Amino acid sequence: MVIKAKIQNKSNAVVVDRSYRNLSFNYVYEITKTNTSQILMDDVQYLYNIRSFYSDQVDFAIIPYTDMSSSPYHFYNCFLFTQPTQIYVFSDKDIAPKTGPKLVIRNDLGIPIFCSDMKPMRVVRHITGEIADLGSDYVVFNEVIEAGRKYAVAPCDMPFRLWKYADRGYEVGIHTLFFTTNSATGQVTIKYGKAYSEWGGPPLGKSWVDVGKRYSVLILDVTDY
Amino acid sequence: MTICMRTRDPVTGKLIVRETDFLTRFLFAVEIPWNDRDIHTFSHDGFTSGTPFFHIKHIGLGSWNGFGEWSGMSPMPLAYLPSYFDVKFNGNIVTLQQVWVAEYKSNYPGPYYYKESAHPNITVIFGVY
Repeated sequence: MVIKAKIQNKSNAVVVDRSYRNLSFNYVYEITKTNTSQILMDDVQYLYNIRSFYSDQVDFAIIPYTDMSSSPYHFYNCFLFTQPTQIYVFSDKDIAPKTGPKLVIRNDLGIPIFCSDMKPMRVVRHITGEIADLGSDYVVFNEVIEAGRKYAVAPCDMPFRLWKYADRGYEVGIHTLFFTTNSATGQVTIKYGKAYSEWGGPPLGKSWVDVGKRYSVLILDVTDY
Repeated sequence: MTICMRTRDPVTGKLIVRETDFLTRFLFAVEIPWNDRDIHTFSHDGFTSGTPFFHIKHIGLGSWNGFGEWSGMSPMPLAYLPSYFDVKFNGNIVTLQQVWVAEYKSNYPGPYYYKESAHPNITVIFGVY
């Protein structure tokens, strides 16, 4: 059956037209090791890959990490996770309907531009701003978006303070964003504060290093993905 | 007529599409060199069809730059981003600039600074939701 329809959002803007495009869910995998570096690889057959992260543990952090085991040092593709974490990857896959029940929308050339079984990327929030004082803790975002929905976070800009604690010997902490997402209540909380610490050698001068205050995080709906 | 766009599998009853599936739209992407600090301006009519967003993949293979930190006594391989992105949307216009946080480069006895010799370009994705 062919139905001609116009799909608009609440602002009455047409959201699906002949040039409609979106990224699609590609795959999900789980990292169970924590407090150790993890190398994340891209699906190189696609131009664009967005990684989003989910954990059912509270206060999980995704921290850039340096693989110093070889030279040149590879810190581009290393992360450190503070909790077991699922990684949802969205890519610019061709829209190719599969067999089974689905909704397919084609443009006027007959080319499919939307297919429900491709599991489209669903952005529900883009959280941006600045941390006023990198030495203080903040709740950056705390909202029940929709009960029963599962949300993942995709960090972009991240605020950072590397901190050598004067009262904790050789401990070094990294202060940045950490996340809690509750798939039962639909609540997402983003906080700024100490996300990780480890032994870092004797203090050498500065007691902290402020790197950046800006943050930018996408929140994606990954329910049933 | 306004309809609630939810469709279920007639056999299993499982929801196969809901109205929020349509709201996100990928508009375009741009690529800049890793050390680019220029102000770039782009326009796209799609920006006014929803709430605009941008995304740059967090440091990872083929993406952003990273700095490593070493305490001098023992490896303390925490890394961080040396730059952030100043992105402003105004109607169908977006301006983009990478702002470099250069203070922390080789700032002994602050953190040492390491970098790979081959930096990948930075890809910025724009869309609306």
